[in-house]
Amino acid sequence: MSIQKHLEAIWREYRLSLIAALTRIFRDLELAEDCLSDAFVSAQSDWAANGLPDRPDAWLYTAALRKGRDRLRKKARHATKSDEVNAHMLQTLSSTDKTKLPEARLGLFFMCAHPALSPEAQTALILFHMGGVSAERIAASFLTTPATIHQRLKRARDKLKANAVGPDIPDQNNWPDRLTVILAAIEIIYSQSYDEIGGGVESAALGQDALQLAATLTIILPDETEVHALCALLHFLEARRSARLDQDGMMIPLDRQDPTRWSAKHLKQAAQYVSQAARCMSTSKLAPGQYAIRAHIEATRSSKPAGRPRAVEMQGLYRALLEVNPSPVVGINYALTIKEAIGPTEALAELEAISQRFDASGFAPWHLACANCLEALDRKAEAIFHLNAAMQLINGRVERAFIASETQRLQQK
Amino acid sequence: MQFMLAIYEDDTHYAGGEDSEAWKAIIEAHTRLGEELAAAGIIRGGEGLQRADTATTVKRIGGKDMIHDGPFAETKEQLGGFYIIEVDTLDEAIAWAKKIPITGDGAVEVRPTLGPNM
Repeated sequence: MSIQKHLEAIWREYRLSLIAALTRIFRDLELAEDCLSDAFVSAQSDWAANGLPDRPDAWLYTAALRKGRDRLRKKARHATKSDEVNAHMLQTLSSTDKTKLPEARLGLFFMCAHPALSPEAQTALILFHMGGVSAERIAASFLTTPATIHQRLKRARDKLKANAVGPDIPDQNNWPDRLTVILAAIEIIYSQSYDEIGGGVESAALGQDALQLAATLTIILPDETEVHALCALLHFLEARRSARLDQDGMMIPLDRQDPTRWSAKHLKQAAQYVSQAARCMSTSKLAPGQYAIRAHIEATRSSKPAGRPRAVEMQGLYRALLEVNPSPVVGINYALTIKEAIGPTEALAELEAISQRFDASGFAPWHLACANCLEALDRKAEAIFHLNAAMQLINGRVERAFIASETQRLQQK
Repeated sequence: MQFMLAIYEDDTHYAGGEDSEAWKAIIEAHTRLGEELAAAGIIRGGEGLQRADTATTVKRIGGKDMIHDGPFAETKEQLGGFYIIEVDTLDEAIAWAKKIPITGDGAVEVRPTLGPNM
Protein backbone atom coordinates (compact mmCIF):
# COMPACT_ATOMS: atom_id res chain seq x y z
CA MET A 1 0.00 0.00 0.00
CA SER A 2 1.30 3.46 -0.86
CA ILE A 3 1.79 6.11 1.85
CA GLN A 4 -1.09 8.03 0.29
CA LYS A 5 -3.43 5.03 0.65
CA HIS A 6 -2.26 4.47 4.23
CA LEU A 7 -2.89 8.10 5.04
CA GLU A 8 -6.39 7.94 3.59
CA ALA A 9 -7.19 4.86 5.66
CA ILE A 10 -5.72 6.43 8.81
CA TRP A 11 -7.61 9.66 8.15
CA ARG A 12 -10.86 7.70 7.95
CA GLU A 13 -10.17 5.66 11.06
CA TYR A 14 -8.66 8.23 13.41
CA ARG A 15 -9.70 11.71 12.24
CA LEU A 16 -12.65 12.04 14.57
CA SER A 17 -10.86 10.66 17.63
CA LEU A 18 -7.87 12.90 17.01
CA ILE A 19 -10.02 16.01 16.53
CA ALA A 20 -11.85 15.17 19.75
CA ALA A 21 -8.62 14.61 21.70
CA LEU A 22 -6.99 17.79 20.33
CA THR A 23 -10.09 19.91 20.95
CA ARG A 24 -10.09 18.66 24.51
CA ILE A 25 -6.62 20.15 25.00
CA PHE A 26 -6.81 23.29 22.83
CA ARG A 27 -10.47 24.01 23.64
CA ASP A 28 -10.56 25.44 20.15
CA LEU A 29 -12.12 23.39 17.35
CA GLU A 30 -10.64 25.45 14.53
CA LEU A 31 -7.12 25.21 15.93
CA ALA A 32 -7.56 21.44 16.35
CA GLU A 33 -8.65 21.02 12.71
CA ASP A 34 -5.86 23.26 11.39
CA CYS A 35 -3.14 21.52 13.39
CA LEU A 36 -4.36 18.07 12.42
CA SER A 37 -4.33 19.05 8.74
CA ASP A 38 -0.77 20.34 9.16
CA ALA A 39 0.21 17.09 10.87
CA PHE A 40 -1.16 15.06 7.95
CA VAL A 41 0.87 17.18 5.53
CA SER A 42 4.03 16.53 7.60
CA ALA A 43 3.21 12.82 7.81
CA GLN A 44 3.19 12.54 4.04
CA SER A 45 6.87 13.48 3.67
CA ASP A 46 8.09 12.04 7.01
CA TRP A 47 6.53 8.62 6.50
CA ALA A 48 7.67 8.44 2.88
CA ALA A 49 11.26 8.99 4.13
CA ASN A 50 11.21 7.05 7.42
CA GLY A 51 8.50 4.48 6.93
CA LEU A 52 5.20 4.07 8.77
CA PRO A 53 5.39 4.65 12.56
CA ASP A 54 4.14 1.91 14.92
CA ARG A 55 1.31 4.05 16.14
CA PRO A 56 0.36 6.42 13.33
CA ASP A 57 -2.40 7.93 15.48
CA ALA A 58 0.04 8.75 18.31
CA TRP A 59 2.49 10.19 15.77
CA LEU A 60 -0.18 12.45 14.30
CA TYR A 61 -1.42 13.45 17.74
CA THR A 62 2.04 14.53 18.92
CA ALA A 63 2.78 16.30 15.64
CA ALA A 64 -0.53 18.19 15.84
CA LEU A 65 0.14 19.16 19.48
CA ARG A 66 3.54 20.53 18.47
CA LYS A 67 1.94 22.57 15.66
CA GLY A 68 -0.60 23.86 18.14
CA ARG A 69 2.05 24.87 20.67
CA ASP A 70 3.95 26.76 17.98
CA ARG A 71 0.84 28.55 16.80
CA LEU A 72 -0.15 29.47 20.36
CA ARG A 73 3.35 30.77 21.14
CA LYS A 74 3.15 33.24 18.29
CA LYS A 75 0.27 34.90 20.07
CA ALA A 76 1.81 36.27 23.25
CA ARG A 77 -1.40 36.28 25.24
CA HIS A 78 -1.68 32.51 24.85
CA ALA A 79 1.72 31.90 26.42
CA THR A 80 0.24 30.05 29.41
CA LYS A 81 -1.90 27.97 27.12
CA SER A 82 1.15 26.95 25.11
CA ASP A 83 2.86 25.81 28.34
CA GLU A 84 -0.16 23.66 29.11
CA VAL A 85 0.03 22.11 25.66
CA ASN A 86 3.73 21.50 26.24
CA ALA A 87 2.91 19.60 29.40
CA HIS A 88 0.44 17.45 27.48
CA MET A 89 3.06 16.63 24.88
CA LEU A 90 5.12 14.84 27.48
CA GLN A 91 2.36 12.31 27.83
CA THR A 92 1.99 10.78 24.40
CA LEU A 93 -1.21 9.08 23.42
CA SER A 94 -0.85 5.78 25.23
CA SER A 95 -2.85 2.70 24.49
CA THR A 96 -4.99 3.25 27.59
CA ASP A 97 -6.21 6.52 26.09
CA LYS A 98 -7.82 4.53 23.35
CA THR A 99 -10.56 3.37 25.69
CA LYS A 100 -11.37 7.00 26.40
CA LEU A 101 -11.71 7.91 22.76
CA PRO A 102 -15.43 7.12 22.35
CA GLU A 103 -16.03 9.41 25.30
CA ALA A 104 -13.95 12.18 23.72
CA ARG A 105 -15.97 11.83 20.54
CA LEU A 106 -19.22 12.04 22.46
CA GLY A 107 -17.90 15.17 24.18
CA LEU A 108 -17.27 16.68 20.76
CA PHE A 109 -20.88 15.87 19.85
CA PHE A 110 -22.17 17.63 22.93
CA MET A 111 -19.94 20.59 22.18
CA CYS A 112 -21.29 20.92 18.64
CA ALA A 113 -24.86 20.51 19.93
CA HIS A 114 -24.45 23.19 22.61
CA PRO A 115 -27.74 25.03 23.14
CA ALA A 116 -25.91 28.39 23.05
CA LEU A 117 -25.72 27.82 19.26
CA SER A 118 -28.56 28.20 16.79
CA PRO A 119 -30.02 24.92 15.43
CA GLU A 120 -28.58 25.70 11.97
CA ALA A 121 -25.12 26.19 13.47
CA GLN A 122 -25.39 22.98 15.54
CA THR A 123 -26.27 20.86 12.52
CA ALA A 124 -23.61 22.47 10.33
CA LEU A 125 -20.91 21.90 12.99
CA ILE A 126 -21.87 18.27 13.51
CA LEU A 127 -22.00 17.51 9.79
CA PHE A 128 -18.73 19.29 9.01
CA HIS A 129 -16.56 18.34 11.99
CA MET A 130 -18.08 15.03 13.09
CA GLY A 131 -19.37 13.68 9.79
CA GLY A 132 -16.60 15.06 7.60
CA VAL A 133 -19.30 16.28 5.19
CA SER A 134 -17.98 19.03 2.89
CA ALA A 135 -19.29 22.60 3.10
CA GLU A 136 -20.49 22.20 -0.50
CA ARG A 137 -22.70 19.26 0.43
CA ILE A 138 -23.99 20.93 3.57
CA ALA A 139 -24.78 24.03 1.51
CA ALA A 140 -26.74 21.91 -0.96
CA SER A 141 -28.90 20.39 1.78
CA PHE A 142 -29.48 23.77 3.47
CA LEU A 143 -30.24 25.41 0.10
CA THR A 144 -27.51 28.01 0.57
CA THR A 145 -23.95 28.73 -0.59
CA PRO A 146 -20.73 27.10 0.68
CA ALA A 147 -19.49 30.61 1.64
CA THR A 148 -22.50 31.05 3.94
CA ILE A 149 -21.85 27.65 5.52
CA HIS A 150 -18.17 28.48 6.11
CA GLN A 151 -19.22 31.78 7.69
CA ARG A 152 -21.78 30.01 9.90
CA LEU A 153 -19.18 27.43 10.97
CA LYS A 154 -16.64 30.13 11.77
CA ARG A 155 -19.09 32.19 13.81
CA ALA A 156 -20.16 29.11 15.76
CA ARG A 157 -16.58 28.00 16.47
CA ASP A 158 -15.64 31.53 17.55
CA LYS A 159 -18.58 31.67 19.95
CA LEU A 160 -17.66 28.31 21.48
CA LYS A 161 -14.07 29.45 21.83
CA ALA A 162 -15.00 32.81 23.39
CA ASN A 163 -17.06 30.95 25.98
CA ALA A 164 -14.41 28.27 26.48
CA VAL A 165 -16.88 25.54 25.57
CA GLY A 166 -14.88 22.36 25.12
CA PRO A 167 -15.73 18.75 24.27
CA ASP A 168 -17.04 17.97 27.76
CA ILE A 169 -19.86 15.63 28.62
CA PRO A 170 -22.39 17.81 30.44
CA ASP A 171 -24.42 17.02 33.55
CA GLN A 172 -27.11 14.50 32.87
CA ASN A 173 -29.90 17.07 33.32
CA ASN A 174 -28.54 18.94 30.30
CA TRP A 175 -28.80 15.89 28.05
CA PRO A 176 -32.34 15.65 26.72
CA ASP A 177 -32.33 18.81 24.55
CA ARG A 178 -28.89 18.15 23.18
CA LEU A 179 -29.64 14.51 22.57
CA THR A 180 -32.43 15.45 20.15
CA VAL A 181 -29.95 17.53 18.15
CA ILE A 182 -27.31 14.79 18.23
CA LEU A 183 -29.67 12.02 17.10
CA ALA A 184 -30.96 14.15 14.23
CA ALA A 185 -27.38 14.92 13.18
CA ILE A 186 -26.33 11.24 13.21
CA GLU A 187 -29.33 10.51 11.04
CA ILE A 188 -28.36 13.30 8.63
CA ILE A 189 -24.81 11.92 8.43
CA TYR A 190 -26.19 8.46 7.71
CA SER A 191 -28.63 9.66 5.08
CA GLN A 192 -25.84 11.59 3.34
CA SER A 193 -24.21 8.21 2.82
CA TYR A 194 -27.46 6.49 1.88
CA ASP A 195 -28.88 9.06 -0.52
CA GLU A 196 -25.81 9.01 -2.65
CA ILE A 197 -26.62 5.57 -3.87
CA GLY A 198 -23.77 5.29 -6.34
CA GLY A 199 -21.42 6.84 -3.75
CA GLY A 200 -19.10 3.85 -3.39
CA VAL A 201 -16.49 3.34 -0.69
CA GLU A 202 -16.43 6.92 0.62
CA SER A 203 -20.18 6.92 1.18
CA ALA A 204 -20.20 3.50 2.78
CA ALA A 205 -17.49 4.68 5.21
CA LEU A 206 -19.62 7.69 6.15
CA GLY A 207 -22.49 5.29 6.84
CA GLN A 208 -20.18 3.20 9.03
CA ASP A 209 -19.18 6.36 10.93
CA ALA A 210 -22.82 7.13 11.64
CA LEU A 211 -23.49 3.55 12.81
CA GLN A 212 -20.44 3.68 15.05
CA LEU A 213 -21.35 7.05 16.54
CA ALA A 214 -24.85 5.80 17.28
CA ALA A 215 -23.48 2.61 18.85
CA THR A 216 -21.12 4.72 21.00
CA LEU A 217 -24.12 6.66 22.24
CA THR A 218 -25.87 3.47 23.36
CA ILE A 219 -22.84 2.54 25.45
CA ILE A 220 -22.70 5.92 27.15
CA LEU A 221 -26.48 6.37 27.41
CA PRO A 222 -27.70 2.79 27.92
CA ASP A 223 -31.16 3.75 29.18
CA GLU A 224 -32.29 6.16 26.46
CA THR A 225 -35.03 4.59 24.31
CA GLU A 226 -34.50 6.90 21.35
CA VAL A 227 -30.77 6.16 21.15
CA HIS A 228 -31.38 2.39 20.84
CA ALA A 229 -34.26 3.05 18.46
CA LEU A 230 -32.03 5.16 16.20
CA CYS A 231 -29.46 2.34 16.12
CA ALA A 232 -32.18 -0.12 15.18
CA LEU A 233 -33.44 2.18 12.43
CA LEU A 234 -29.98 2.66 10.94
CA HIS A 235 -29.26 -1.08 10.96
CA PHE A 236 -32.55 -1.78 9.18
CA LEU A 237 -31.54 0.74 6.51
CA GLU A 238 -28.00 -0.66 6.36
CA ALA A 239 -29.39 -4.17 5.90
CA ARG A 240 -31.05 -3.03 2.67
CA ARG A 241 -28.12 -0.99 1.37
CA SER A 242 -27.07 -3.42 -1.36
CA ALA A 243 -30.60 -4.70 -2.09
CA ARG A 244 -31.60 -1.22 -3.26
CA LEU A 245 -29.69 -1.60 -6.50
CA ASP A 246 -29.93 -4.12 -9.29
CA GLN A 247 -27.00 -5.41 -11.36
CA ASP A 248 -27.05 -2.30 -13.55
CA GLY A 249 -26.96 0.02 -10.54
CA MET A 250 -30.66 0.84 -10.96
CA MET A 251 -32.69 1.73 -7.87
CA ILE A 252 -35.17 -0.88 -6.64
CA PRO A 253 -38.03 0.53 -4.52
CA LEU A 254 -38.59 -1.18 -1.19
CA ASP A 255 -41.73 -3.09 -2.22
CA ARG A 256 -39.93 -4.65 -5.18
CA GLN A 257 -36.76 -5.61 -3.27
CA ASP A 258 -35.80 -9.23 -2.77
CA PRO A 259 -35.79 -9.74 1.04
CA THR A 260 -33.24 -12.54 0.74
CA ARG A 261 -30.74 -9.88 -0.36
CA TRP A 262 -31.14 -8.01 2.92
CA SER A 263 -28.16 -8.41 5.24
CA ALA A 264 -29.00 -10.96 7.95
CA LYS A 265 -26.22 -9.56 10.13
CA HIS A 266 -27.65 -6.05 10.20
CA LEU A 267 -31.23 -7.29 10.59
CA LYS A 268 -30.12 -9.26 13.63
CA GLN A 269 -28.40 -6.23 15.13
CA ALA A 270 -31.46 -4.12 14.39
CA ALA A 271 -33.66 -6.64 16.22
CA GLN A 272 -31.35 -6.53 19.24
CA TYR A 273 -31.57 -2.74 19.37
CA VAL A 274 -35.37 -2.94 19.03
CA SER A 275 -35.55 -5.12 22.14
CA GLN A 276 -33.17 -2.79 24.00
CA ALA A 277 -35.40 0.15 23.05
CA ALA A 278 -38.45 -1.77 24.29
CA ARG A 279 -36.67 -2.46 27.59
CA CYS A 280 -35.84 1.25 28.06
CA MET A 281 -39.35 2.30 27.14
CA SER A 282 -41.00 -0.03 29.65
CA THR A 283 -38.72 1.35 32.39
CA SER A 284 -39.06 5.02 31.49
CA LYS A 285 -42.82 4.85 30.79
CA LEU A 286 -42.48 7.70 28.28
CA ALA A 287 -44.56 7.81 25.10
CA PRO A 288 -42.66 6.52 22.04
CA GLY A 289 -40.63 9.21 20.24
CA GLN A 290 -40.05 9.44 16.53
CA TYR A 291 -37.19 6.93 16.40
CA ALA A 292 -39.07 4.34 18.44
CA ILE A 293 -41.99 4.56 15.99
CA ARG A 294 -39.75 4.48 12.95
CA ALA A 295 -37.83 1.46 14.24
CA HIS A 296 -41.20 -0.25 14.81
CA ILE A 297 -42.18 0.57 11.21
CA GLU A 298 -38.98 -0.96 9.83
CA ALA A 299 -39.32 -4.01 12.04
CA THR A 300 -42.86 -4.58 10.77
CA ARG A 301 -41.73 -4.06 7.21
CA SER A 302 -38.96 -6.62 7.37
CA SER A 303 -40.66 -9.29 9.50
CA LYS A 304 -44.28 -9.43 8.30
CA PRO A 305 -45.49 -10.48 4.84
CA ALA A 306 -47.01 -7.80 2.61
CA GLY A 307 -50.78 -7.74 2.60
CA ARG A 308 -53.73 -5.94 4.05
CA PRO A 309 -53.13 -6.71 7.77
CA ARG A 310 -49.60 -5.31 7.54
CA ALA A 311 -50.84 -2.32 5.54
CA VAL A 312 -53.40 -1.46 8.24
CA GLU A 313 -50.73 -1.71 10.95
CA MET A 314 -48.38 0.48 8.92
CA GLN A 315 -51.09 3.09 8.43
CA GLY A 316 -51.54 3.30 12.21
CA LEU A 317 -47.80 3.60 12.79
CA TYR A 318 -47.39 6.34 10.21
CA ARG A 319 -50.36 8.22 11.66
CA ALA A 320 -48.62 8.14 15.06
CA LEU A 321 -45.36 9.23 13.46
CA LEU A 322 -47.05 12.14 11.69
CA GLU A 323 -48.28 13.35 15.07
CA VAL A 324 -44.83 13.20 16.69
CA ASN A 325 -42.94 14.41 13.63
CA PRO A 326 -45.15 16.41 11.26
CA SER A 327 -43.09 16.66 8.06
CA PRO A 328 -43.82 16.34 4.34
CA VAL A 329 -41.82 13.08 4.04
CA VAL A 330 -43.81 11.43 6.82
CA GLY A 331 -47.06 12.78 5.35
CA ILE A 332 -46.25 11.32 1.92
CA ASN A 333 -45.44 7.93 3.42
CA TYR A 334 -48.64 8.06 5.46
CA ALA A 335 -50.60 8.67 2.26
CA LEU A 336 -48.90 5.66 0.62
CA THR A 337 -49.90 3.42 3.54
CA ILE A 338 -53.50 4.59 2.98
CA LYS A 339 -53.18 3.41 -0.62
CA GLU A 340 -52.30 -0.10 0.57
CA ALA A 341 -54.75 -0.21 3.48
CA ILE A 342 -57.78 1.51 1.91
CA GLY A 343 -57.22 2.49 -1.72
CA PRO A 344 -55.59 4.90 -4.18
CA THR A 345 -58.51 7.38 -4.27
CA GLU A 346 -58.30 7.98 -0.51
CA ALA A 347 -54.50 8.15 -0.75
CA LEU A 348 -54.70 10.85 -3.44
CA ALA A 349 -57.04 12.88 -1.22
CA GLU A 350 -54.50 12.62 1.61
CA LEU A 351 -51.68 13.67 -0.75
CA GLU A 352 -53.74 16.73 -1.69
CA ALA A 353 -54.13 17.56 2.02
CA ILE A 354 -50.38 17.01 2.62
CA SER A 355 -49.56 19.34 -0.26
CA GLN A 356 -51.70 22.09 1.30
CA ARG A 357 -50.38 21.51 4.80
CA PHE A 358 -46.68 21.37 3.97
CA ASP A 359 -46.49 23.10 0.60
CA ALA A 360 -45.08 19.83 -0.77
CA SER A 361 -45.61 20.40 -4.51
CA GLY A 362 -41.98 21.50 -4.93
CA PHE A 363 -40.88 18.19 -3.50
CA ALA A 364 -39.95 15.27 -5.79
CA PRO A 365 -41.16 12.44 -3.47
CA TRP A 366 -44.62 14.03 -3.39
CA HIS A 367 -44.86 13.86 -7.20
CA LEU A 368 -43.62 10.26 -7.21
CA ALA A 369 -46.29 9.31 -4.66
CA CYS A 370 -48.97 11.03 -6.78
CA ALA A 371 -47.75 9.16 -9.87
CA ASN A 372 -47.89 5.89 -7.92
CA CYS A 373 -51.54 6.43 -6.89
CA LEU A 374 -52.63 7.73 -10.30
CA GLU A 375 -51.15 4.67 -12.02
CA ALA A 376 -53.19 2.45 -9.71
CA LEU A 377 -56.29 4.36 -10.90
CA ASP A 378 -55.26 3.94 -14.56
CA ARG A 379 -54.86 7.70 -14.94
CA LYS A 380 -51.71 7.24 -17.04
CA ALA A 381 -51.34 10.73 -18.54
CA GLU A 382 -51.56 12.41 -15.13
CA ALA A 383 -49.11 9.91 -13.65
CA ILE A 384 -46.58 10.72 -16.39
CA PHE A 385 -47.13 14.43 -15.76
CA HIS A 386 -46.10 13.93 -12.09
CA LEU A 387 -43.07 11.80 -13.05
CA ASN A 388 -41.91 14.64 -15.30
CA ALA A 389 -42.42 17.13 -12.47
CA ALA A 390 -40.33 14.93 -10.13
CA MET A 391 -37.58 14.70 -12.77
CA GLN A 392 -37.34 18.52 -12.80
CA LEU A 393 -36.72 18.50 -9.04
CA ILE A 394 -34.16 15.73 -8.59
CA ASN A 395 -30.42 15.68 -9.24
CA GLY A 396 -29.19 12.23 -8.19
CA ARG A 397 -28.04 10.12 -11.13
CA VAL A 398 -29.57 6.87 -9.88
CA GLU A 399 -32.87 8.50 -8.94
CA ARG A 400 -33.13 10.17 -12.32
CA ALA A 401 -32.50 6.86 -14.08
CA PHE A 402 -35.25 5.30 -11.97
CA ILE A 403 -37.76 8.02 -12.88
CA ALA A 404 -36.84 7.72 -16.56
CA SER A 405 -37.45 3.96 -16.51
CA GLU A 406 -40.76 4.40 -14.69
CA THR A 407 -41.89 6.93 -17.31
CA GLN A 408 -40.92 4.55 -20.09
CA ARG A 409 -42.73 1.67 -18.39
CA LEU A 410 -45.93 3.74 -18.11
CA GLN A 411 -45.73 4.93 -21.71
CA GLN A 412 -45.51 1.35 -22.94
CA LYS A 413 -48.34 0.13 -20.73
CA MET B 1 -13.23 32.21 33.37
CA GLN B 2 -15.44 35.19 34.09
CA PHE B 3 -18.95 35.74 32.84
CA MET B 4 -21.29 38.66 33.20
CA LEU B 5 -24.89 37.74 33.91
CA ALA B 6 -26.90 40.78 32.82
CA ILE B 7 -30.48 40.88 34.03
CA TYR B 8 -33.26 42.29 31.86
CA GLU B 9 -36.75 42.68 33.26
CA ASP B 10 -39.82 44.86 33.12
CA ASP B 11 -39.19 47.34 35.94
CA THR B 12 -42.76 48.68 35.97
CA HIS B 13 -43.32 45.75 38.38
CA TYR B 14 -41.45 47.88 40.91
CA ALA B 15 -43.39 51.09 40.26
CA GLY B 16 -44.70 50.88 43.84
CA GLY B 17 -41.22 51.78 45.11
CA GLU B 18 -39.16 50.36 47.95
CA ASP B 19 -42.14 49.61 50.16
CA SER B 20 -43.93 47.47 47.55
CA GLU B 21 -44.19 43.71 48.02
CA ALA B 22 -42.60 43.06 44.59
CA TRP B 23 -39.54 45.13 45.53
CA LYS B 24 -39.11 43.53 48.94
CA ALA B 25 -39.46 40.06 47.43
CA ILE B 26 -36.88 40.61 44.67
CA ILE B 27 -34.36 42.21 47.03
CA GLU B 28 -34.69 39.29 49.41
CA ALA B 29 -34.28 36.79 46.56
CA HIS B 30 -31.15 38.58 45.31
CA THR B 31 -29.71 38.68 48.82
CA ARG B 32 -30.15 34.90 49.09
CA LEU B 33 -28.57 34.35 45.66
CA GLY B 34 -25.67 36.66 46.64
CA GLU B 35 -25.06 34.54 49.72
CA GLU B 36 -25.13 31.37 47.64
CA LEU B 37 -22.65 32.83 45.11
CA ALA B 38 -20.39 33.98 47.95
CA ALA B 39 -20.54 30.55 49.60
CA ALA B 40 -19.53 28.96 46.28
CA GLY B 41 -16.61 31.42 46.15
CA ILE B 42 -17.34 32.52 42.59
CA ILE B 43 -18.72 36.05 42.91
CA ARG B 44 -16.40 38.69 41.41
CA GLY B 45 -18.69 41.69 41.26
CA GLY B 46 -22.10 43.03 40.42
CA GLU B 47 -24.63 45.74 41.06
CA GLY B 48 -28.33 46.30 41.08
CA LEU B 49 -29.41 49.35 39.11
CA GLN B 50 -32.05 51.94 39.79
CA ARG B 51 -35.07 51.99 37.52
CA ALA B 52 -34.46 52.49 33.79
CA ASP B 53 -36.34 55.82 33.76
CA THR B 54 -33.51 57.27 35.87
CA ALA B 55 -31.06 56.63 33.02
CA THR B 56 -29.39 59.22 30.82
CA THR B 57 -27.83 58.19 27.52
CA VAL B 58 -25.02 59.97 25.72
CA LYS B 59 -25.46 59.23 22.04
CA ARG B 60 -22.65 59.85 19.58
CA ILE B 61 -23.77 60.29 16.00
CA GLY B 62 -21.34 61.46 13.33
CA GLY B 63 -18.79 62.47 15.97
CA LYS B 64 -21.34 64.64 17.79
CA ASP B 65 -22.50 63.85 21.32
CA MET B 66 -26.11 64.24 22.28
CA ILE B 67 -27.69 63.80 25.68
CA HIS B 68 -30.83 61.69 25.66
CA ASP B 69 -33.28 61.28 28.53
CA GLY B 70 -33.84 57.59 29.10
CA PRO B 71 -32.11 54.23 28.62
CA PHE B 72 -30.28 53.24 25.41
CA ALA B 73 -32.87 50.77 24.16
CA GLU B 74 -36.58 51.56 24.38
CA THR B 75 -37.69 48.03 25.13
CA LYS B 76 -40.11 46.58 27.65
CA GLU B 77 -37.33 44.66 29.38
CA GLN B 78 -34.48 46.84 30.62
CA LEU B 79 -31.07 46.21 32.12
CA GLY B 80 -31.72 46.01 35.84
CA GLY B 81 -28.42 44.78 37.20
CA PHE B 82 -25.61 42.32 36.69
CA TYR B 83 -23.37 39.79 38.36
CA ILE B 84 -19.78 38.92 37.46
CA ILE B 85 -19.00 35.31 38.31
CA GLU B 86 -15.96 33.10 37.85
CA VAL B 87 -16.76 29.52 36.76
CA ASP B 88 -15.10 26.91 34.56
CA THR B 89 -17.74 26.44 31.89
CA LEU B 90 -20.56 28.16 30.06
CA ASP B 91 -22.87 25.41 31.31
CA GLU B 92 -22.14 26.39 34.91
CA ALA B 93 -22.72 30.06 34.07
CA ILE B 94 -26.03 29.14 32.45
CA ALA B 95 -27.01 27.08 35.50
CA TRP B 96 -26.40 30.15 37.71
CA ALA B 97 -28.28 32.38 35.25
CA LYS B 98 -31.29 30.10 35.69
CA LYS B 99 -31.23 30.79 39.42
CA ILE B 100 -31.44 34.57 39.03
CA PRO B 101 -34.76 35.90 40.33
CA ILE B 102 -36.88 37.90 37.90
CA THR B 103 -40.36 39.33 38.45
CA GLY B 104 -42.57 38.18 35.57
CA ASP B 105 -40.96 37.67 32.15
CA GLY B 106 -37.42 38.71 31.42
CA ALA B 107 -33.99 37.50 30.37
CA VAL B 108 -30.48 36.97 31.62
CA GLU B 109 -27.70 37.52 29.09
CA VAL B 110 -24.66 35.34 29.77
CA ARG B 111 -21.53 36.83 28.30
CA PRO B 112 -17.84 36.02 28.76
CA THR B 113 -15.69 38.96 29.88
CA LEU B 114 -12.43 39.80 28.12
CA GLY B 115 -10.55 38.64 31.20
CA PRO B 116 -7.09 39.47 32.51
CA ASN B 117 -5.20 37.92 29.53
CA MET B 118 -6.44 40.40 26.98
